Amino acid sequence: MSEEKKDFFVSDISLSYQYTAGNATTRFLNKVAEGKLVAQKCPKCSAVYVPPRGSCPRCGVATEEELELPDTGAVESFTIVHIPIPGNPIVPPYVSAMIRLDGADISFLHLIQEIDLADIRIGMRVQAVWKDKSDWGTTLENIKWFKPTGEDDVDPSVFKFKE
Amino acid sequence: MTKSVDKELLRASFKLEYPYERSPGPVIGKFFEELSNEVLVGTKNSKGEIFVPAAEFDPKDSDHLSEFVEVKKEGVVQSYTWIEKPRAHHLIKESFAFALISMDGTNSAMLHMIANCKEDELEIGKRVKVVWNEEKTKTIRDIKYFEIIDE
Amino acid sequence: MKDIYILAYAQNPIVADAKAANEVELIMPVVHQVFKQTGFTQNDIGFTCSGSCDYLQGAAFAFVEGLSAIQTNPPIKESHVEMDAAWALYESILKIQMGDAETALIYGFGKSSPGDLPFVSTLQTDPYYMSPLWPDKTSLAALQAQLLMNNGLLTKKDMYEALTQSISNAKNNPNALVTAMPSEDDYLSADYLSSPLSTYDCAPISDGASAMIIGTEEAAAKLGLQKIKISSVHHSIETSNFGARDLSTSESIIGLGKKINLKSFNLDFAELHTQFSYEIPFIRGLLDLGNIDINLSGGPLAGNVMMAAGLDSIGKSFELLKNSDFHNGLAHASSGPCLQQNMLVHLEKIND
Repeated sequence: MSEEKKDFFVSDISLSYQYTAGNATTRFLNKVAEGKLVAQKCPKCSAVYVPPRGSCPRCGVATEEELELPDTGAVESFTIVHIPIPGNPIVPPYVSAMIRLDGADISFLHLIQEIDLADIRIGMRVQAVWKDKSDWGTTLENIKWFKPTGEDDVDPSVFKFKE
Repeated sequence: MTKSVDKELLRASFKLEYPYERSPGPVIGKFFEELSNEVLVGTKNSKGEIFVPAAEFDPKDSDHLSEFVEVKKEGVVQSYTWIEKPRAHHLIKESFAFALISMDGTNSAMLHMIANCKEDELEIGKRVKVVWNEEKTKTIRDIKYFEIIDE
Repeated sequence: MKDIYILAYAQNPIVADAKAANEVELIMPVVHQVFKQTGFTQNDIGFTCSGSCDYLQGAAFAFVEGLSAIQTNPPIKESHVEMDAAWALYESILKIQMGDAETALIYGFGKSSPGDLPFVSTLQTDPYYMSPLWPDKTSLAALQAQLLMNNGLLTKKDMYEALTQSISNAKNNPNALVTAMPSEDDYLSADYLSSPLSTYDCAPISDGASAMIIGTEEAAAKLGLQKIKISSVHHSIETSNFGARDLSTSESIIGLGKKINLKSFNLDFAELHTQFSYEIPFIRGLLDLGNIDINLSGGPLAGNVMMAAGLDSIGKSFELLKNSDFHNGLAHASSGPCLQQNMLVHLEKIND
C-alpha cells in the first residue's frame, strides 16, 4: 500500500445471495444444457432475441413464442483484448466478439478462436464449437468459442435492427 | 458457483463483495487514530456540546467541527436490544446486545455492542465501559464491545 | 401549482419467494395492468420513473434491466431512484409541475428473497461508525422500540393489537402475503430476534412489484374516472448520525404532519409504511391520529415489497378512496433506520 494510503481501511462488505436467472433465461439455459439455442420472438415487432430475457425491450411486452436457432452466425463487431483481466483464465491476446446468430435480431458476446487475429473482421461467418457433451450444463460456457466457417462474409447491413 | 438440482429453477449462490479502501478523513481518522491508542475523543461544537464518536459536522446545524476533546471510557446505556441468538454477520457469536451508549459528558450516543453479561442485568441507564480489542485496526472495531460496570 | 391526480394503481400478489421470476417478469404484469385501467399505452406517458435497490437481489444495475419491461421505442423520458418508489412518485410530481409532462408512469419492485435482507439493509448505515459492526435492520428498529417501551410510550400489547389488526385487515387485500393470525399466547411467548421484537413484529420478507399512473387535471378529466387528487405531499429526512437523533420521537414525522395540514381536514384513514409492529402505535401517537383506521389494506406487516411498499401505501389509499365513501386519506412512506426519512401524502376524493 502506498504511503499516502496508510490511513485507508478496507470495508468488509460481503453479502451472500441465491441468484435466480429469471423464467425466460431459465428456459433458455435448460435448452442450452441440451445443446440447443432457443430464442424468443416479440409478438408485436417480430424481433427475435437470443439469449432471451422474457420481454421485448423495445415494445415492453412478454416474448412467449420460442424458436430454435442454428449455432451459426456472423460477427457484428469485435475487439482484440490485449490486457489480462483479473480472474479471467483466457490468455491475451484473444477476440471478444458480438455474434449475431442466423435468424436473431440481437447479438451476444462470445469468444472467437481457431483464427489468425489479423483475419478477424465484421461480417465474418462463424459457428459454435461445443464442449464435449458430457461437460454440458445450464450455461453458455457449453460453447467453448466460435470459429470461422470459411463461407463468404455477410453484408454488414443485415445487422441493422428491423423496424 | 453451485447449481440447484431443480431443473425448473436455476439458482446460483454467489458472494457480493465490495472491498473498497475508505479514507476516514481528518476527523474520523483522528478518532480512529486515538482509538488505536486506547483513547476516546469527541468533537465539540460552539455551544460546548460533545459528540462521540467524533462527528465531522454538527448534526443540528451542520457546522464543521474540528475541536477535539478526550472523554472518559465510560458511559450510560440509552437503549439496547438483546440478541439471544446472534445471526449471520454479527461479530459476537455468543448472546450480546447492540446498544446506544452516551459516553460521560457527551451529547450524542454511539452505536456499539455490549457483551459479558446476561440479558436481565442490562437496562436503560446502566453504566458501561469500553473493552478494547488487543489487535488495533484503526476502525470502530478497536472497541471490542462494552461491558457493565460493577457497582 | 397544477393539481395532480392518481389515475391507476396495480400491485402484484406479494410472495415470499418469486422463485425464478426476474425484475422484468415482476414489473411487466403491473405495468400492463395500469395501462389497462387507463387505456393508455407507453406513448401516452410523459415521464417514467422507478424505485428499486440493486443490493436486494445482488444484481448490479438490475434497475436498467428492469427497463426491459417498458416500451422504449421510440426512446422515453425516464429516471430511477435507488429508494422506495414513493420517491419516484415525488420526482414524477415535480416533473409534471415543471410542465415537462402531463402524465407519469411510476413503478417499484423488490426481490428480497435472494439475499439476507436485514443485513443488506446494514449497508444503508454509516460506513465508518456503524456498518462495520453489522447492525441489522431488525436490531436498529429494536433499539427504538425498547426506548419507547422504557419511556412508557409503548407496550407489547400495543404491538400485538397493531399486528392483529393488520393481519385482520389483510383479508381486504387479495395480494397480501400474511393472513395467519398468532394467538396472544403465541405472540407473547415467541422468542425475540432482537428484544423486544420477535419475527411476528417484523414485516415478512417479500418479493413483488407495483405500478401507478398519475396525471394532470386534463389527463384525469379525459378518462372520466373518479378523481383522486394528491392534495399535499411533503418529505423530510433526519441526520444519518443515528446517535444524535432522539429516537423516542420523530421530528420528521411531526413536522410533515404540520406541513400537510393534517388538522385541516377530516381524515378517514391512514396507510402507513410500517415495517415493524411498534411503528403503528408510535406514528399514531406522533400524528395524533386518535382511533383512525390504520392500514386497512393490511399494510407492510401483511406483505412488504422493499422499494414498492411506500408506493403501495399511496396506491392502497387511492383504491380505498375510489371504492368507499371515504373522502380523505393519509399515506406514509419511509426509509432508513428507525423511520429516518418519511413522506406524507394527503389524498382527497374530488366530486365534480
